[in-house]
Amino acid sequence: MAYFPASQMLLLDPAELLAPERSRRDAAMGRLARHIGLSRGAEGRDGAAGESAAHENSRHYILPPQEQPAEVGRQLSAWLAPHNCALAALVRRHRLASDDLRELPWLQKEVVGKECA
Amino acid sequence: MRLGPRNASPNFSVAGPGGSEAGRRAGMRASALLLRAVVSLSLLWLPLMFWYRPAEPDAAPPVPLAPGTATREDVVVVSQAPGQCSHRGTYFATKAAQTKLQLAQRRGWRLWIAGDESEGLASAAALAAGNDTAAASQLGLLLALHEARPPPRWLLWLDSELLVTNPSAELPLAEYEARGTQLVLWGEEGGAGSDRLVVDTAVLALRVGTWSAALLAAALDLATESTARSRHHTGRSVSALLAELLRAPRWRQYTQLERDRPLFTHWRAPPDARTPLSALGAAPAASLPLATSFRGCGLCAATAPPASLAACRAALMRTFTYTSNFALRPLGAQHAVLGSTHVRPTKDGVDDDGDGDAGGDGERGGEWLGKHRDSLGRCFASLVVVGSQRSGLASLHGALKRGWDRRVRVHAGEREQHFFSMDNHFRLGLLHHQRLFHPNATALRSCTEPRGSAATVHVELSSSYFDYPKAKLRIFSVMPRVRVAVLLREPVARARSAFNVRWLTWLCGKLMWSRPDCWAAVTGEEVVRQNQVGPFQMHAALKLWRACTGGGEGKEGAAPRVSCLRADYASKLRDKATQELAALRACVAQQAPSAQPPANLGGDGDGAGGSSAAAAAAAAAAAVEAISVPPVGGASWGEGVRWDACLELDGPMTGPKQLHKKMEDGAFVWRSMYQVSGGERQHLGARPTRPPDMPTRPTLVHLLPSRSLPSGAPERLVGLLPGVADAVARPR
Repeated sequence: MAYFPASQMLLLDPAELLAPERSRRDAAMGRLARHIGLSRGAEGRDGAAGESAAHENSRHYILPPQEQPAEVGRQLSAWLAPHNCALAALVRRHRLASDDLRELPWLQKEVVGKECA
Repeated sequence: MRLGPRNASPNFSVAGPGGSEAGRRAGMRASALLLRAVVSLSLLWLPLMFWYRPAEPDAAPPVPLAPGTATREDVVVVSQAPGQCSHRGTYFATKAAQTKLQLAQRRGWRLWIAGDESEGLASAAALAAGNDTAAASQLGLLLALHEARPPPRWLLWLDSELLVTNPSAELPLAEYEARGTQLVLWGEEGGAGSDRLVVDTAVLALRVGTWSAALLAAALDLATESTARSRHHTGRSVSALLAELLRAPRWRQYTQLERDRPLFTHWRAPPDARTPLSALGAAPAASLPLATSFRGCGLCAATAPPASLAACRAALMRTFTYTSNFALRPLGAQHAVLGSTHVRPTKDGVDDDGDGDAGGDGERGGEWLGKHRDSLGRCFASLVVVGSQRSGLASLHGALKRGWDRRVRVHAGEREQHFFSMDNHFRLGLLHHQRLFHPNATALRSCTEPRGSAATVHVELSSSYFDYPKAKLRIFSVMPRVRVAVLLREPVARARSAFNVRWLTWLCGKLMWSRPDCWAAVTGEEVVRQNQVGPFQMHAALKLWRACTGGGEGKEGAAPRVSCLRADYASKLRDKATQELAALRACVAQQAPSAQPPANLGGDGDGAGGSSAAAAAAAAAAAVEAISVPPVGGASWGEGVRWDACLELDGPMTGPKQLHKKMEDGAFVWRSMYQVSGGERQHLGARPTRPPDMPTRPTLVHLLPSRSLPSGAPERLVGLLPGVADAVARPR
């Protein structure tokens, strides 16, 4: 936001782009299409995007996230919490997402029930 | 010494050819006696000759070559361009020359930058044919410019390493003329009781007339051959010549030592004597000097240690952009930050979005600038997708490549180009970038499918564009109207994923790219060596493999034990998180010392505040940037903190390799903070008020990549810009 106006920006949650449900994937890609002025018509090839949640750059964890040290997760969450609040405020102020932040589910979950003064 | 017949000239012979031998000998004795008498008398007179000093010639009143009352300031700004320099000296010297051009344009003065004609520069030799000295030295050049037609009223000399810092600085030429002043120097009398005159001729103003011509001629007579002809003279040599001459009343009575106006300062001056630049955009204070010398930058010779050289050049660039803002403003543009040659549109001062920054979401800027940049970027991407590392960029890239929409075309080549984020890539030039979309393009703006056309949407994706320090500014400067899509992954998951990839790299090297569970394939030292990506990684991988197979000795053919790898992973993850969080807390503490991070900000009692070394490094980095961004206080969790400066991501010595290492090896937490705090409109500070007499012509070379800048100085540069060259008047 330091450089580009909100009208030129689109926020996407990659979890939506890779969601197992096709409807969620299509919704996210549809937002992208509208952002760049494309109408989804004959030009498009439905289903080509996100045919699978797996992608070429995926990596396995030797230690799955749920087994990683819990205190690290707590530290990170605590440190990032106010930053996420600021992000949510910024997103709302510039109308980069709806007021309930449904376009960014993780951020919606992050700020719900938390004091983001 | 015996003066005898051998020393006598035959003409001394007083006897004729037909005289007797005795007469001839008598004549010779008489001649010798006469000669001895003459020599003796001469020796007696010698002390008297040294003692005697003829009176000063009558000091005729100076006669100006351009007589009459000064109805306008007819000044020629004079300087020399250094020769071709090593490193980036020529580039910096060109910036110095540009500020002189801006001064001349702003004040309606003429400009003369002397140099080799082979470089396309004006040469004094062309003015005074056959006068090699004029072509070479400061004194000769000033003397030769007395022959300019019409003669200027004043010559204003500015050394080549000087940058004009205050184009509005007062220069009361009419007052000088009224007092009969012919030479204005910014110097000092010597200390108490001393008759020494200390002058610095980096800046001098000379009233063009008979007096000044005689002074310069006398100085040239005093000059040694090397001083007179030295192209890269030192100011000291000319200063010494003038100081010597000014001991005589004839010259001194028409010279004024100007000490009331801060017209000249050295960048290396002590802090208390140094006039700091105002903050970005502020109108120059009355105390801001006309010019600042950057002699310490070693423009043509790297004589200073690298660190101070880099700091000097960084200061030079900040000064240049500060001055350049005054020329850009009427075009609706200004430099985005001090020190960066990128420009951005200015805002029109209408707070139409209520955010209090007197600017709407849209950057309006000037009509000319808008057209220029639209034209510049017409063959670039129309959509840039960014997102921090491990945010799904590869997935989206794959989807677009697979043909999600045939109207969408992803750039050629590597998946991530990092063109705008890495200095070494950006230096390749915009044409290089344009060829990602139009491989056959031979010139900028040359493409068959301009961006935004209905036929094609060109897309570029790079993770580094999201959080590498310079990327956003560069993209904005080149493509201010590009669409941007930002991938925002849940930040804790992103940090974990980024650390996971790094850990896999440490163990597997290139194997990481061939199988997701690459650790299972690390079965021996030879495997590690074959897949290593660098000596440090190989060392770490061997150490871990040995530790996790065969009890520290390694066991060929065996994969490391998973339990051992997991323990290593957990240990390194803890260490990395602790280390990075401490550094981030140190940034908060250092930039907002009155406010400590609250306990709930990851504060687990493990020493919030970080190491003193980290704090010191952060303070040093912040000091470097202090000139452009004032410290922001009062924040408890990092709001307004300049993280990139604090973490030394954007320091003067941070090259592409260092930056890449810092970002990929040590910024896992920071890259999950999504740069919200301090990022919003931070760089777009106040702006200078528009002076009524601001020239309307631009200097736009900063829009070009540095490699395309021609060597030499501004007359060549303005030649690139139609409509500007005629603004550079030359002595006729």
